[in-house]
Amino acid sequence: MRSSRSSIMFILAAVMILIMITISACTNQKQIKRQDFAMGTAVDIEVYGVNAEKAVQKVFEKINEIDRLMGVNIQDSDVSKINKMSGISPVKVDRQTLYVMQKAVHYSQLSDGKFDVSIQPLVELWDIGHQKDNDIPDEQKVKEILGYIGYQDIEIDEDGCVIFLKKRDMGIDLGGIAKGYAADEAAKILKDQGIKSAFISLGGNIFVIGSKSDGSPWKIGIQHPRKPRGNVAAVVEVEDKSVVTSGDYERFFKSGGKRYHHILDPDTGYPAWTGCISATVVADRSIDADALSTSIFLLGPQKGLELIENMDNTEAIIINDNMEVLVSSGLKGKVKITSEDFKLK
Amino acid sequence: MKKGDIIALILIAVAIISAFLITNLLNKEKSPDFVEITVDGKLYDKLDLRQQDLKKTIKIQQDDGKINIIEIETGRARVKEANCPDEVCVNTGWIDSPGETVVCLPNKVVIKIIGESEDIDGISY
Repeated sequence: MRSSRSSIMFILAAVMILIMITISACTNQKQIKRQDFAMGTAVDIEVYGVNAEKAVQKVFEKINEIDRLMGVNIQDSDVSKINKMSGISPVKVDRQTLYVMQKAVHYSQLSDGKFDVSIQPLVELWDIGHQKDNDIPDEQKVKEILGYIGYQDIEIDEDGCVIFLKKRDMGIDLGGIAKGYAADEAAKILKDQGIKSAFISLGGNIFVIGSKSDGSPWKIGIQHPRKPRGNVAAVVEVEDKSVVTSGDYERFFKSGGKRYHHILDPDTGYPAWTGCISATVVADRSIDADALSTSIFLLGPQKGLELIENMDNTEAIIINDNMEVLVSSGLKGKVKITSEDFKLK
Repeated sequence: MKKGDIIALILIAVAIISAFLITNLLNKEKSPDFVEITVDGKLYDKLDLRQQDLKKTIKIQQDDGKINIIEIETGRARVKEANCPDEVCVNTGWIDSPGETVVCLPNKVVIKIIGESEDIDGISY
Protein backbone atom coordinates (compact mmCIF):
# COMPACT_ATOMS: atom_id res chain seq x y z
CA MET A 1 0.00 0.00 0.00
CA ARG A 2 1.27 3.45 -0.86
CA SER A 3 0.48 6.23 1.54
CA SER A 4 1.20 9.90 1.00
CA ARG A 5 3.81 9.71 3.73
CA SER A 6 5.87 7.01 2.04
CA SER A 7 5.64 8.86 -1.28
CA ILE A 8 6.95 12.01 0.33
CA MET A 9 9.69 10.07 2.05
CA PHE A 10 10.63 8.55 -1.27
CA ILE A 11 10.85 11.97 -2.94
CA LEU A 12 12.83 13.40 -0.04
CA ALA A 13 15.28 10.52 -0.26
CA ALA A 14 15.66 11.02 -3.99
CA VAL A 15 16.28 14.75 -3.53
CA MET A 16 18.86 14.07 -0.80
CA ILE A 17 20.70 11.60 -3.01
CA LEU A 18 20.75 14.11 -5.87
CA ILE A 19 22.09 16.83 -3.61
CA MET A 20 24.76 14.51 -2.25
CA ILE A 21 25.84 13.51 -5.74
CA THR A 22 26.09 17.16 -6.77
CA ILE A 23 28.11 18.11 -3.70
CA SER A 24 30.51 15.19 -3.98
CA ALA A 25 31.00 15.88 -7.70
CA CYS A 26 32.03 19.41 -6.80
CA THR A 27 34.31 18.66 -3.88
CA ASN A 28 36.12 15.57 -5.14
CA GLN A 29 37.74 17.59 -7.86
CA LYS A 30 40.46 19.98 -6.93
CA GLN A 31 40.42 22.98 -9.18
CA ILE A 32 43.43 25.07 -10.08
CA LYS A 33 43.13 28.27 -12.07
CA ARG A 34 46.20 30.15 -13.15
CA GLN A 35 47.05 33.02 -15.43
CA ASP A 36 50.52 33.78 -16.61
CA PHE A 37 52.14 35.59 -19.49
CA ALA A 38 54.17 33.67 -22.05
CA MET A 39 54.78 33.71 -25.81
CA GLY A 40 53.77 37.37 -25.83
CA THR A 41 50.27 36.64 -24.66
CA ALA A 42 48.09 35.81 -21.67
CA VAL A 43 47.96 32.11 -20.83
CA ASP A 44 45.01 30.82 -18.81
CA ILE A 45 44.85 27.31 -17.44
CA GLU A 46 42.05 25.70 -15.50
CA VAL A 47 42.66 22.15 -14.29
CA TYR A 48 40.52 19.73 -12.31
CA GLY A 49 42.16 16.75 -10.65
CA VAL A 50 44.43 15.53 -7.92
CA ASN A 51 47.78 16.39 -9.51
CA ALA A 52 46.57 19.73 -10.79
CA GLU A 53 49.12 21.98 -9.06
CA LYS A 54 52.17 20.02 -10.20
CA ALA A 55 50.77 19.59 -13.69
CA VAL A 56 50.16 23.31 -14.17
CA GLN A 57 53.69 24.10 -13.03
CA LYS A 58 55.10 21.72 -15.64
CA VAL A 59 52.90 23.22 -18.34
CA PHE A 60 54.26 26.72 -17.77
CA GLU A 61 57.83 25.42 -17.85
CA LYS A 62 57.11 23.76 -21.19
CA ILE A 63 55.48 26.84 -22.71
CA ASN A 64 58.47 28.96 -21.72
CA GLU A 65 60.82 26.39 -23.23
CA ILE A 66 58.90 26.51 -26.53
CA ASP A 67 59.01 30.32 -26.45
CA ARG A 68 62.79 30.26 -25.96
CA LEU A 69 63.10 28.02 -29.04
CA MET A 70 60.59 29.65 -31.34
CA GLY A 71 60.20 33.28 -30.27
CA VAL A 72 61.08 35.58 -33.16
CA ASN A 73 62.00 38.39 -30.75
CA ILE A 74 64.22 36.23 -28.56
CA GLN A 75 67.88 36.77 -29.37
CA ASP A 76 69.20 33.21 -29.35
CA SER A 77 66.05 31.26 -30.22
CA ASP A 78 66.24 28.71 -33.03
CA VAL A 79 64.09 31.02 -35.12
CA SER A 80 66.44 33.99 -34.61
CA LYS A 81 69.44 31.84 -35.45
CA ILE A 82 67.80 30.53 -38.63
CA ASN A 83 66.93 34.10 -39.67
CA LYS A 84 70.41 35.43 -38.91
CA MET A 85 72.02 32.68 -40.98
CA SER A 86 69.61 32.94 -43.93
CA GLY A 87 71.49 32.55 -47.21
CA ILE A 88 74.69 31.81 -45.26
CA SER A 89 74.49 28.45 -43.58
CA PRO A 90 72.12 25.78 -42.26
CA VAL A 91 71.35 25.90 -38.55
CA LYS A 92 71.11 22.98 -36.18
CA VAL A 93 67.83 23.20 -34.27
CA ASP A 94 65.87 21.48 -31.54
CA ARG A 95 63.66 18.52 -32.58
CA GLN A 96 60.60 20.52 -31.56
CA THR A 97 61.48 23.41 -33.87
CA LEU A 98 62.04 20.93 -36.68
CA TYR A 99 58.63 19.35 -36.09
CA VAL A 100 56.83 22.70 -36.09
CA MET A 101 58.68 23.74 -39.28
CA GLN A 102 57.69 20.52 -41.02
CA LYS A 103 54.08 21.08 -40.03
CA ALA A 104 54.29 24.68 -41.26
CA VAL A 105 55.59 23.63 -44.66
CA HIS A 106 52.87 20.98 -44.85
CA TYR A 107 50.22 23.66 -44.39
CA SER A 108 51.93 25.93 -46.91
CA GLN A 109 51.52 23.17 -49.49
CA LEU A 110 47.94 22.47 -48.42
CA SER A 111 46.94 26.14 -48.68
CA ASP A 112 48.61 26.79 -52.07
CA GLY A 113 51.26 28.87 -50.37
CA LYS A 114 48.84 31.18 -48.55
CA PHE A 115 49.96 30.04 -45.09
CA ASP A 116 53.68 30.76 -45.19
CA VAL A 117 56.05 31.01 -42.22
CA SER A 118 58.60 32.79 -44.40
CA ILE A 119 56.30 35.84 -44.24
CA GLN A 120 58.51 37.39 -41.52
CA PRO A 121 60.17 40.16 -43.63
CA LEU A 122 56.69 41.37 -44.58
CA VAL A 123 55.46 41.19 -40.98
CA GLU A 124 58.45 43.29 -39.97
CA LEU A 125 57.80 45.83 -42.73
CA TRP A 126 54.14 46.35 -41.82
CA ASP A 127 54.71 46.02 -38.07
CA ILE A 128 50.95 46.11 -37.49
CA GLY A 129 49.92 46.54 -33.89
CA HIS A 130 53.30 47.83 -32.78
CA GLN A 131 53.97 51.00 -34.71
CA LYS A 132 52.18 54.09 -33.52
CA ASP A 133 51.93 56.10 -36.72
CA ASN A 134 50.09 53.44 -38.77
CA ASP A 135 51.99 53.99 -41.98
CA ILE A 136 51.16 52.02 -45.08
CA PRO A 137 54.51 50.91 -46.45
CA ASP A 138 55.80 52.06 -49.80
CA GLU A 139 54.42 49.94 -52.66
CA GLN A 140 57.84 49.46 -54.19
CA LYS A 141 59.24 48.25 -50.90
CA VAL A 142 56.40 45.71 -50.54
CA LYS A 143 57.15 44.36 -54.03
CA GLU A 144 60.84 44.05 -53.26
CA ILE A 145 60.19 42.13 -50.06
CA LEU A 146 57.78 39.75 -51.80
CA GLY A 147 60.88 38.48 -53.59
CA TYR A 148 62.25 36.91 -50.41
CA ILE A 149 59.04 35.23 -49.42
CA GLY A 150 58.41 31.62 -50.31
CA TYR A 151 58.29 28.43 -48.29
CA GLN A 152 59.84 26.59 -51.26
CA ASP A 153 63.17 28.12 -50.28
CA ILE A 154 63.12 26.56 -46.83
CA GLU A 155 65.36 23.52 -46.64
CA ILE A 156 64.64 21.03 -43.89
CA ASP A 157 67.04 18.15 -43.22
CA GLU A 158 65.19 15.84 -40.87
CA ASP A 159 68.05 13.42 -40.14
CA GLY A 160 70.56 16.16 -39.38
CA CYS A 161 67.90 18.26 -37.60
CA VAL A 162 69.01 21.24 -39.63
CA ILE A 163 67.12 24.11 -41.25
CA PHE A 164 68.35 26.46 -43.96
CA LEU A 165 66.76 29.47 -45.60
CA LYS A 166 68.22 29.65 -49.10
CA LYS A 167 67.93 33.39 -49.73
CA ARG A 168 69.87 35.99 -47.76
CA ASP A 169 67.01 38.29 -46.77
CA MET A 170 64.58 35.54 -45.89
CA GLY A 171 63.13 35.13 -42.43
CA ILE A 172 60.62 32.94 -40.65
CA ASP A 173 58.00 33.74 -38.04
CA LEU A 174 56.25 30.86 -36.28
CA GLY A 175 53.63 33.18 -34.75
CA GLY A 176 50.88 31.47 -36.74
CA ILE A 177 51.63 27.98 -35.49
CA ALA A 178 53.87 27.87 -32.39
CA LYS A 179 51.05 28.68 -29.95
CA GLY A 180 49.14 25.74 -31.35
CA TYR A 181 52.11 23.47 -30.80
CA ALA A 182 52.49 24.80 -27.24
CA ALA A 183 48.81 24.13 -26.50
CA ASP A 184 49.21 20.53 -27.71
CA GLU A 185 52.27 20.04 -25.53
CA ALA A 186 50.45 21.56 -22.56
CA ALA A 187 47.55 19.15 -23.06
CA LYS A 188 49.96 16.23 -23.35
CA ILE A 189 51.59 17.11 -20.04
CA LEU A 190 48.24 17.43 -18.28
CA LYS A 191 47.03 14.09 -19.66
CA ASP A 192 50.29 12.39 -18.62
CA GLN A 193 49.63 13.65 -15.09
CA GLY A 194 46.29 11.91 -15.16
CA ILE A 195 44.20 15.04 -15.64
CA LYS A 196 40.80 14.25 -17.15
CA SER A 197 39.35 17.74 -17.30
CA ALA A 198 41.15 20.96 -18.21
CA PHE A 199 40.84 24.21 -20.13
CA ILE A 200 43.87 25.85 -21.73
CA SER A 201 43.90 29.23 -23.46
CA LEU A 202 47.09 30.51 -25.03
CA GLY A 203 46.06 33.98 -26.07
CA GLY A 204 42.73 32.75 -27.40
CA ASN A 205 44.07 29.46 -28.78
CA ILE A 206 41.91 27.05 -26.85
CA PHE A 207 42.41 23.41 -25.97
CA VAL A 208 40.00 21.51 -23.76
CA ILE A 209 40.65 18.12 -22.22
CA GLY A 210 37.65 15.90 -21.62
CA SER A 211 34.40 17.50 -20.53
CA LYS A 212 33.78 19.92 -17.68
CA SER A 213 33.98 18.56 -14.15
CA ASP A 214 30.19 18.19 -14.11
CA GLY A 215 30.34 16.07 -17.25
CA SER A 216 28.86 18.65 -19.63
CA PRO A 217 30.77 19.80 -22.73
CA TRP A 218 32.86 22.98 -22.64
CA LYS A 219 31.12 26.01 -24.09
CA ILE A 220 33.54 28.02 -26.15
CA GLY A 221 32.58 31.45 -27.39
CA ILE A 222 33.80 32.83 -30.70
CA GLN A 223 34.93 36.43 -30.30
CA HIS A 224 32.56 39.00 -31.85
CA PRO A 225 34.79 40.42 -34.62
CA ARG A 226 33.46 43.98 -34.29
CA LYS A 227 33.09 44.37 -30.53
CA PRO A 228 35.60 44.57 -27.67
CA ARG A 229 37.30 41.46 -26.42
CA GLY A 230 34.94 39.30 -24.39
CA ASN A 231 31.85 39.80 -26.56
CA VAL A 232 30.74 36.63 -28.25
CA ALA A 233 29.29 36.08 -31.73
CA ALA A 234 28.56 32.37 -31.41
CA VAL A 235 29.06 29.46 -29.06
CA VAL A 236 30.23 25.96 -29.86
CA GLU A 237 30.22 23.01 -27.47
CA VAL A 238 33.29 20.77 -27.52
CA GLU A 239 35.09 17.97 -25.69
CA ASP A 240 38.74 16.99 -26.21
CA LYS A 241 39.22 19.56 -28.95
CA SER A 242 41.20 22.62 -29.83
CA VAL A 243 39.40 25.77 -30.98
CA VAL A 244 41.48 28.46 -32.67
CA THR A 245 40.29 31.69 -34.30
CA SER A 246 42.04 34.05 -36.69
CA GLY A 247 40.48 37.43 -37.28
CA ASP A 248 41.07 40.85 -38.76
CA TYR A 249 40.26 42.53 -35.43
CA GLU A 250 43.17 41.47 -33.25
CA ARG A 251 45.81 43.87 -34.52
CA PHE A 252 44.91 46.44 -37.14
CA PHE A 253 44.71 50.07 -38.07
CA LYS A 254 42.27 51.89 -40.31
CA SER A 255 43.26 54.13 -43.16
CA GLY A 256 41.16 55.46 -46.04
CA GLY A 257 38.19 53.33 -44.98
CA LYS A 258 40.29 50.17 -45.17
CA ARG A 259 41.19 47.87 -42.32
CA TYR A 260 44.89 47.05 -42.35
CA HIS A 261 45.08 43.93 -40.21
CA HIS A 262 47.89 41.57 -39.25
CA ILE A 263 47.09 38.58 -41.48
CA LEU A 264 49.21 39.30 -44.52
CA ASP A 265 48.79 37.67 -47.91
CA PRO A 266 52.15 36.37 -49.21
CA ASP A 267 50.96 36.78 -52.82
CA THR A 268 50.02 40.47 -52.66
CA GLY A 269 52.12 41.67 -49.73
CA TYR A 270 49.01 43.37 -48.25
CA PRO A 271 46.56 42.35 -45.52
CA ALA A 272 44.29 39.57 -46.80
CA TRP A 273 40.94 41.03 -47.86
CA THR A 274 39.18 37.81 -48.76
CA GLY A 275 35.68 38.44 -47.43
CA CYS A 276 36.58 36.61 -44.25
CA ILE A 277 36.62 38.58 -41.01
CA SER A 278 36.91 35.65 -38.61
CA ALA A 279 37.89 32.03 -39.17
CA THR A 280 37.64 29.42 -36.43
CA VAL A 281 38.88 25.85 -36.70
CA VAL A 282 37.91 23.02 -34.36
CA ALA A 283 40.34 20.10 -34.50
CA ASP A 284 41.88 17.34 -32.40
CA ARG A 285 45.22 19.10 -32.33
CA SER A 286 45.87 22.76 -31.76
CA ILE A 287 48.84 22.95 -34.13
CA ASP A 288 46.47 21.96 -36.95
CA ALA A 289 43.69 24.29 -35.79
CA ASP A 290 46.18 27.19 -35.50
CA ALA A 291 47.70 26.79 -38.97
CA LEU A 292 44.32 26.03 -40.55
CA SER A 293 42.48 29.01 -39.08
CA THR A 294 45.07 31.33 -40.63
CA SER A 295 45.00 29.29 -43.86
CA ILE A 296 41.24 29.51 -44.33
CA PHE A 297 41.23 33.19 -43.43
CA LEU A 298 43.75 33.71 -46.25
CA LEU A 299 41.91 31.46 -48.69
CA GLY A 300 38.57 33.17 -48.07
CA PRO A 301 35.21 31.70 -47.00
CA GLN A 302 34.54 29.58 -50.11
CA LYS A 303 37.93 27.96 -50.67
CA GLY A 304 38.57 27.80 -46.94
CA LEU A 305 35.43 25.81 -46.31
CA GLU A 306 36.25 23.47 -49.19
CA LEU A 307 39.66 22.76 -47.66
CA ILE A 308 38.09 21.92 -44.30
CA GLU A 309 35.40 19.68 -45.80
CA ASN A 310 38.12 17.51 -47.28
CA MET A 311 39.71 16.86 -43.88
CA ASP A 312 38.70 14.32 -41.24
CA ASN A 313 37.74 15.42 -37.72
CA THR A 314 38.29 19.05 -38.64
CA GLU A 315 35.53 21.65 -38.65
CA ALA A 316 35.26 25.38 -39.22
CA ILE A 317 33.13 28.39 -38.35
CA ILE A 318 33.66 31.32 -40.69
CA ILE A 319 32.23 34.84 -40.42
CA ASN A 320 32.16 36.74 -43.70
CA ASP A 321 32.00 40.49 -44.22
CA ASN A 322 28.21 40.34 -44.65
CA MET A 323 28.10 39.20 -41.02
CA GLU A 324 26.98 35.74 -42.09
CA VAL A 325 28.20 32.69 -40.21
CA LEU A 326 29.23 29.72 -42.35
CA VAL A 327 29.61 26.36 -40.64
CA SER A 328 31.25 23.18 -41.97
CA SER A 329 29.08 20.06 -42.30
CA GLY A 330 30.27 18.38 -39.10
CA LEU A 331 29.20 21.35 -36.97
CA LYS A 332 25.77 21.90 -38.54
CA GLY A 333 23.27 22.37 -35.73
CA LYS A 334 26.02 22.55 -33.11
CA VAL A 335 26.87 26.23 -33.35
CA LYS A 336 24.63 28.68 -31.54
CA ILE A 337 24.61 32.28 -32.71
CA THR A 338 24.42 34.45 -29.61
CA SER A 339 24.61 37.93 -31.12
CA GLU A 340 21.87 39.60 -33.15
CA ASP A 341 24.53 41.04 -35.43
CA PHE A 342 24.99 37.71 -37.19
CA LYS A 343 22.88 35.17 -39.00
CA LEU A 344 23.60 31.59 -39.95
CA LYS A 345 24.06 31.01 -43.65
CA MET B 1 -4.94 8.12 -7.94
CA LYS B 2 -4.64 8.32 -4.18
CA LYS B 3 -4.67 11.58 -2.34
CA GLY B 4 -1.04 11.08 -1.30
CA ASP B 5 0.05 10.60 -4.90
CA ILE B 6 -1.57 13.86 -5.89
CA ILE B 7 0.22 15.69 -3.06
CA ALA B 8 3.47 14.05 -4.12
CA LEU B 9 2.97 15.09 -7.74
CA ILE B 10 2.22 18.65 -6.73
CA LEU B 11 5.32 18.72 -4.57
CA ILE B 12 7.46 17.40 -7.43
CA ALA B 13 5.99 19.99 -9.80
CA VAL B 14 6.64 22.80 -7.34
CA ALA B 15 10.20 21.58 -6.76
CA ILE B 16 10.95 21.36 -10.49
CA ILE B 17 9.44 24.73 -11.30
CA SER B 18 11.23 26.52 -8.48
CA ALA B 19 14.56 24.87 -9.34
CA PHE B 20 14.05 25.91 -12.95
CA LEU B 21 13.20 29.48 -11.97
CA ILE B 22 16.13 29.79 -9.60
CA THR B 23 18.72 28.55 -12.10
CA ASN B 24 17.19 30.67 -14.83
CA LEU B 25 17.17 33.81 -12.75
CA LEU B 26 20.79 33.23 -11.76
CA ASN B 27 21.87 32.62 -15.34
CA LYS B 28 19.97 35.50 -16.89
CA GLU B 29 21.73 37.97 -14.63
CA LYS B 30 24.03 39.68 -17.10
CA SER B 31 24.73 42.93 -15.36
CA PRO B 32 28.32 43.99 -14.78
CA ASP B 33 28.85 43.23 -11.12
CA PHE B 34 32.56 43.25 -10.43
CA VAL B 35 35.77 44.37 -12.00
CA GLU B 36 38.82 42.25 -11.39
CA ILE B 37 42.31 43.64 -11.88
CA THR B 38 45.25 41.26 -12.18
CA VAL B 39 48.91 42.12 -12.51
CA ASP B 40 51.23 39.41 -13.83
CA GLY B 41 48.54 36.80 -13.21
CA LYS B 42 47.98 37.78 -9.59
CA LEU B 43 44.81 39.40 -8.29
CA TYR B 44 45.51 43.06 -7.61
CA ASP B 45 42.06 44.35 -6.79
CA LYS B 46 38.42 43.45 -7.10
CA LEU B 47 35.70 46.09 -6.92
CA ASP B 48 31.93 45.97 -6.81
CA LEU B 49 30.65 47.88 -9.84
CA ARG B 50 27.09 48.00 -8.49
CA GLN B 51 28.00 50.79 -6.07
CA GLN B 52 26.17 54.02 -6.79
CA ASP B 53 28.22 57.05 -7.85
CA LEU B 54 31.36 54.98 -8.03
CA LYS B 55 34.29 56.96 -9.32
CA LYS B 56 37.73 55.71 -8.62
CA THR B 57 41.16 55.93 -10.14
CA ILE B 58 43.72 53.26 -9.40
CA LYS B 59 47.35 53.77 -10.25
CA ILE B 60 49.29 50.57 -10.70
CA GLN B 61 52.99 51.27 -10.52
CA GLN B 62 55.24 48.26 -10.83
CA ASP B 63 58.82 48.00 -9.57
CA ASP B 64 60.25 48.25 -13.08
CA GLY B 65 58.49 51.56 -13.75
CA LYS B 66 55.49 50.18 -15.64
CA ILE B 67 52.45 52.32 -15.00
CA ASN B 68 48.75 51.82 -15.75
CA ILE B 69 46.09 54.20 -14.54
CA ILE B 70 42.72 52.52 -14.29
CA GLU B 71 39.47 54.39 -14.04
CA ILE B 72 36.43 52.73 -12.55
CA GLU B 73 32.85 54.01 -12.53
CA THR B 74 29.51 52.44 -11.72
CA GLY B 75 29.15 49.53 -14.15
CA ARG B 76 32.27 50.15 -16.19
CA ALA B 77 36.05 50.38 -16.23
CA ARG B 78 38.92 51.35 -18.53
CA VAL B 79 42.63 51.93 -18.71
CA LYS B 80 42.91 55.71 -18.78
CA GLU B 81 46.63 56.05 -19.18
CA ALA B 82 49.58 53.72 -19.56
CA ASN B 83 53.25 53.97 -20.37
CA CYS B 84 53.32 50.81 -22.46
CA PRO B 85 54.67 51.19 -26.01
CA ASP B 86 51.52 50.27 -27.96
CA GLU B 87 48.73 51.68 -25.74
CA VAL B 88 46.35 49.00 -27.01
CA CYS B 89 44.90 48.95 -23.50
CA VAL B 90 44.07 52.66 -23.54
CA ASN B 91 42.58 52.45 -27.03
CA THR B 92 40.28 49.62 -26.00
CA GLY B 93 38.27 52.20 -24.05
CA TRP B 94 35.48 51.48 -21.60
CA ILE B 95 34.31 47.92 -20.96
CA ASP B 96 30.95 47.30 -19.33
CA SER B 97 29.59 43.80 -19.94
CA PRO B 98 30.51 40.53 -18.24
CA GLY B 99 33.38 38.73 -19.92
CA GLU B 100 34.88 41.84 -21.49
CA THR B 101 38.55 42.38 -20.80
CA VAL B 102 41.24 44.95 -21.36
CA VAL B 103 44.69 43.42 -21.67
CA CYS B 104 47.90 45.41 -21.41
CA LEU B 105 50.36 42.79 -22.59
CA PRO B 106 53.57 44.78 -22.15
CA ASN B 107 52.71 45.63 -18.53
CA LYS B 108 50.93 42.32 -17.84
CA VAL B 109 47.85 44.09 -16.53
CA VAL B 110 44.39 42.66 -17.15
CA ILE B 111 41.05 44.14 -16.18
CA LYS B 112 37.96 42.01 -16.52
CA ILE B 113 34.26 42.56 -15.96
CA ILE B 114 32.57 39.77 -14.08
CA GLY B 115 28.83 39.11 -13.96
CA GLU B 116 26.82 36.98 -11.57
CA SER B 117 27.44 33.97 -13.73
CA GLU B 118 29.20 33.49 -17.00
CA ASP B 119 27.53 31.07 -19.33
CA ILE B 120 30.58 30.30 -21.43
CA ASP B 121 33.85 28.69 -20.36
CA GLY B 122 36.24 30.55 -22.61
CA ILE B 123 36.59 32.67 -25.73
CA SER B 124 38.51 31.87 -28.86
CA TYR B 125 39.93 35.03 -30.43
